Amino acid sequence: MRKLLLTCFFALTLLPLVAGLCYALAYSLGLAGALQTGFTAQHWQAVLGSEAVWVSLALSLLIALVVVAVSTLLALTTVLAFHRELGASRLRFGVYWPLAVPPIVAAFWGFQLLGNSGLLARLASSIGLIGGPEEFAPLINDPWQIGIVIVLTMATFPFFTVVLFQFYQSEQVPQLLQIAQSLGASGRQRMWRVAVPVLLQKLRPLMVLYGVFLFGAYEVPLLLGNQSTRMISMLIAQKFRRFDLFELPQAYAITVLYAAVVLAVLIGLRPGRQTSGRLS
Amino acid sequence: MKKSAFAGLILLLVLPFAYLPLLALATQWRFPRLLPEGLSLEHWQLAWRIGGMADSLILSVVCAALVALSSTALGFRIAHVIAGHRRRRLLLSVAYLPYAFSPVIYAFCLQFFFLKTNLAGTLAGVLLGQFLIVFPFSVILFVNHWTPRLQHMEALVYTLGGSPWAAWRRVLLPVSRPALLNGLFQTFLLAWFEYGLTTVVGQGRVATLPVRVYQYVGEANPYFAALGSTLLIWPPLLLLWLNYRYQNLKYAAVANR
Repeated sequence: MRKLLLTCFFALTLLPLVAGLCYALAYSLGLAGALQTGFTAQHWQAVLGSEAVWVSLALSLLIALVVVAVSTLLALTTVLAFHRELGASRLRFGVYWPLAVPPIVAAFWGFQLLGNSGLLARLASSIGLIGGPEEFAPLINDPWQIGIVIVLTMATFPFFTVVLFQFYQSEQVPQLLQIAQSLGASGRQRMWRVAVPVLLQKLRPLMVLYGVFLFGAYEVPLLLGNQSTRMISMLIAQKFRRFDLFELPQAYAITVLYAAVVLAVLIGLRPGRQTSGRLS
Repeated sequence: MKKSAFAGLILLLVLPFAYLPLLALATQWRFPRLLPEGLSLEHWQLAWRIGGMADSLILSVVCAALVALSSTALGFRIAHVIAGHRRRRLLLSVAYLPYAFSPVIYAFCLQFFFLKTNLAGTLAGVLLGQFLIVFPFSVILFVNHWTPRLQHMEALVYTLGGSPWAAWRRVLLPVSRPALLNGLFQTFLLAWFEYGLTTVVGQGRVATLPVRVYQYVGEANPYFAALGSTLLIWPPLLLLWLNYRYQNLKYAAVANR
């Protein structure tokens, strides 16, 4: 029974992924698919020599890093500043609300909030900051991808806050802070030498995993992204959806490249590594 | 001051839950007005009658429920095997791989196999595709549930002469009920939110609510998109509240013991 269940586990997790990636690799090397011509490295040469691919990879990585860093900072500040309210206030359930928002709705909400005629532009207009929608700073489809970063941060930071507050309680941070105080630590030392390191160490696996998710984010860049510089999932999707069949081998090659980056991050940083249990 | 700041933060976080239903009820809401020009159920009636919103809602509920039930059941059972395995960490790493992949890119990788098996563009294909993403998550979720304490309880049943069936029926399942409910809830949400894979595998023919929302945004119909969004965010919020209440009651019961 155990063997059957483990076989089932591999068949539903590893097998589809490996089969899909093998097919992608074979297609990109001209060994499979409608365009197979026998082994060729020309598609890989085109992909590895393409500036758009590297820009897209770097952009995705940068956005993931910025969103994780800003979200962590905001969540840490919220938990440390409002730990009493998060534990006892009647409003505390409000922090959980954004967890019920799917990425496609977050993207649409971002569009409604940050667009040229969105809620922020209306507020700016009502207090006389701008005369019309065209005067509002472009935050949607902008070259700096600010809209994407804002919306992804709005979606990530509440989740980090909920998790960090759980760690705050489970790791008994208030008690640790009290001990540090009785040992003569100043307010700043208690914050930076006790609370922040304890919470960050617990959050680290989630930061890595979330960074990987954000690296492959699709819905938000689909609605709010710039067409000239695209995140990696957008670039891959566009190559797959083009009518030009000759783009397909390159699309598969970029997919393999994306998989290599994800695997490298997962193996290198090991988010699944056991970090549960109190610091001792 | 601190309470006001916290209230302000909460207000910002819950704003879309008020704004999106309001937009769905607005007759018109042109720039620079801060509030809609009028409210009516016109968009709701239209979306229900000709927009296919009811079909999408039913489809989304059915898809998410089926995926959640199947992945929770299998994930729970397989996590039990993995938790007691000597290569537990390695097996858990395997579960992380498909879960960490961008669903849309994973779907493009699998597209060929879905086409070959005639599953592309079908509900069965979308269900299978969503299951392939949600199931590893379910395993990751449940592995932590199978603590040494629970494994010792199971061993105790066998020591006292109980059969595996008795161990599951009388000990493991009753003890695991809260975890199973939590797993069902989380896997339901994951399937309910799924968009990227559903569009690729479903090829636009399986129009779940997220697919419908994107379609309306593309058609520059913000009122219908807001309506679809409202339907997408309020049911999970209700589930979240029930889960939150249940967890709080559970903690309160433990604290009062």
